[in-house]
Amino acid sequence: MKKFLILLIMVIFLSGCVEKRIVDEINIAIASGFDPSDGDKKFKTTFLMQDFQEDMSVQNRTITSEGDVRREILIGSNRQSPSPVVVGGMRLTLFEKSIAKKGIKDYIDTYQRDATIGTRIFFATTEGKTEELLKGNYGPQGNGSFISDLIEHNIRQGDVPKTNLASFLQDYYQKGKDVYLPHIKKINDKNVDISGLMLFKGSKALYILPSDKMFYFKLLVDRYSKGEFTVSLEDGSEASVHSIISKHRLKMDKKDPLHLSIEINIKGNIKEYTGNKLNPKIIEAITKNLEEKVEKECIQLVKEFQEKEIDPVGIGAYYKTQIRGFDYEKWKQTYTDLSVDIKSDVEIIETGATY
Amino acid sequence: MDSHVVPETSKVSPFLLFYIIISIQIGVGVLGYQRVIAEHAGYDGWISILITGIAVHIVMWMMFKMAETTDGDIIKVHQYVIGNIAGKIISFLLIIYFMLYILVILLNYIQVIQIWMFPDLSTFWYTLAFMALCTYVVFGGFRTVVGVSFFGMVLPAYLLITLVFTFRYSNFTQILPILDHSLIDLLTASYHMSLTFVGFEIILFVYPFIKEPQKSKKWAHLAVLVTTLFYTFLAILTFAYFSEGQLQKTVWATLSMWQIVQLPFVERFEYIAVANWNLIILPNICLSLWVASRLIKRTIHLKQRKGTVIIAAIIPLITLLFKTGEQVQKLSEITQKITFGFVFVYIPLLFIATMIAKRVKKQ
Repeated sequence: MKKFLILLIMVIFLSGCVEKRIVDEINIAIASGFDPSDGDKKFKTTFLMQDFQEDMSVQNRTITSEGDVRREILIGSNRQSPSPVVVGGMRLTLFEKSIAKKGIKDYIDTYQRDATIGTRIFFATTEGKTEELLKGNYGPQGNGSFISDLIEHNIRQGDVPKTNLASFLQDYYQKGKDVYLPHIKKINDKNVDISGLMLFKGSKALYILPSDKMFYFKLLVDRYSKGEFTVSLEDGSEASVHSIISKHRLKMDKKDPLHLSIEINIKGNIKEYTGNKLNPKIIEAITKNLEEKVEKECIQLVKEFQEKEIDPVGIGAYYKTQIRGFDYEKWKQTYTDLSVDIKSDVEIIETGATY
Repeated sequence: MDSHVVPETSKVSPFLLFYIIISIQIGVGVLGYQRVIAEHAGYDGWISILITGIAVHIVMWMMFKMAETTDGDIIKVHQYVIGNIAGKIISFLLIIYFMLYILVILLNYIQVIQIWMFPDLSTFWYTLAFMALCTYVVFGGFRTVVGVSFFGMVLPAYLLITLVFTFRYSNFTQILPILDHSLIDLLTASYHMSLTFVGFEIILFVYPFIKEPQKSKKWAHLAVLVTTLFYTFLAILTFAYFSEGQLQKTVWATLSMWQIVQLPFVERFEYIAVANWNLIILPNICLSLWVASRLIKRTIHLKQRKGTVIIAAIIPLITLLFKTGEQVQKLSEITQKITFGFVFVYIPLLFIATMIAKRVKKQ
């Protein structure tokens, strides 16, 4: 029995001999950025770490190295770091525009293969070098948290569509759907801005959708979305409507599969009105105005996508669920000829605390 | 020689068969069966799960019929059909079957730990530690083993609730259109699903240990119904969360789904899930180890304790042979064929043979 106990203790302690990762003894990379290489390597990577200061603030530190595969970069970065760099705490990954234009297929593989990386991290493309962007000084919470919080709250409340790694991968591997990422830009050393959405064709970035179209884009791609938009009425007054909930539904015409209608329902509150008094007539005018605006902007977007042969709305993926034995090859031609119409229904629920 | 007479004190209540079956069925397979069935039947794969579920019910009915006819376990069935010595030889082969079972579960689970948590975890030492624990449980007797399977199912059940977090990213229309695949595709996926379902053949071994076995039938069928529904439900959740191309790139889909879980006090939930899986495979191994050692006792009359220790010692040594993930994959594939052959081919044949033998003996 004694021997058995000794064996048991040995077994327990020996199987405890695995690689430890103590928080104080590692360097957690919170963000990373990919830039084109200055030399002859494939790319240049910047890791952003944060050093926690005694006064609870965070000091940003970046390590930049070049390589052909990401692993090589990690080794290169470790040569510049006093403690091992780990990627498990990553919250953000940025791609410089030209890198994204060349295609981000190879980068995605790492993010799937390495199980230590979570799927809640954000991808984004940047205007200008990611190294420069990560080197700014945006706030006491640190640059990594600053930018990822910026994206996150704009997804939750603003007009940026859902784009964390989970939904990005879902769309990326979905046939009949193209991906998109927020596009961010450094304004100055203190500020960054989400300047638009980078739309992809396959794994290659195609063009940037300006930020004023983002809300309409979100209406088309997200199942539920919140957002803000303004309408100007004939009498010159303006109203700002906050959409609380919006849903969209794709509907294929059963008789004529080449015809698709998209229904967009928006429920919202009036937050601001510059005219004299809100009466039911004006509310109706606002509603109507909004509906027209949504329909006009959205149809424009869809037409634009058809012209550029990209499908961020996932119309192809939708058709696949409607038709048995769906053929994606044929679909590529059908997509551009598809006639789409958009019907929107706006409902104003509340008009605020004043009468 | 009356070693198959089980004293009343080591028998368990009929309803406990419910926990025994669920806990032995649910193992490492749950972590990644979705990709395999989707590979063959696409997002119609959930229908294949139901087909396999029905097949399992039928086989289970046969097993109960056989056990009732002979009023004993599979060794008695073998003796009934092909005589004493030949019966024992075949029964002895089943020891290898259950050892294979233990090996595949442990190797697959350790592979998961190595990829998700500790890349340099030693397979040998971990297996040895785990087998020591299981030996300890089996030394406690059958009732202890059943107790472990009860907790092995109840305690980790909360994990299911955490999958609610995936809803925000799920798109349930992805499983449309239903029946987009041929019957052949569906059946192929059903075949691949069988490895996740097996384990219920344990009925043929634990039957003598159940009080009023007649009453346990409904519990056994209920258990299979629950696992079938659970697998189907989980598959639909998975199909909604991953797009089809993405799922093909995801080896452990269930674990990957936990990557999205965010709680204020845990940043990465999948690590908790991996650690918790210990508790899920514990009854798997304990029950298999118990059955294997019982088989040793019944066939070559070695004391069950000795048999347990022998098997528990051999398993870690065999794991030394497996060095790469690919080898583990190969072993799993072979095991898949063997278990399918045993459960869905051999048992029905044995059933027919038993029924014929019964007729002959009556005349």
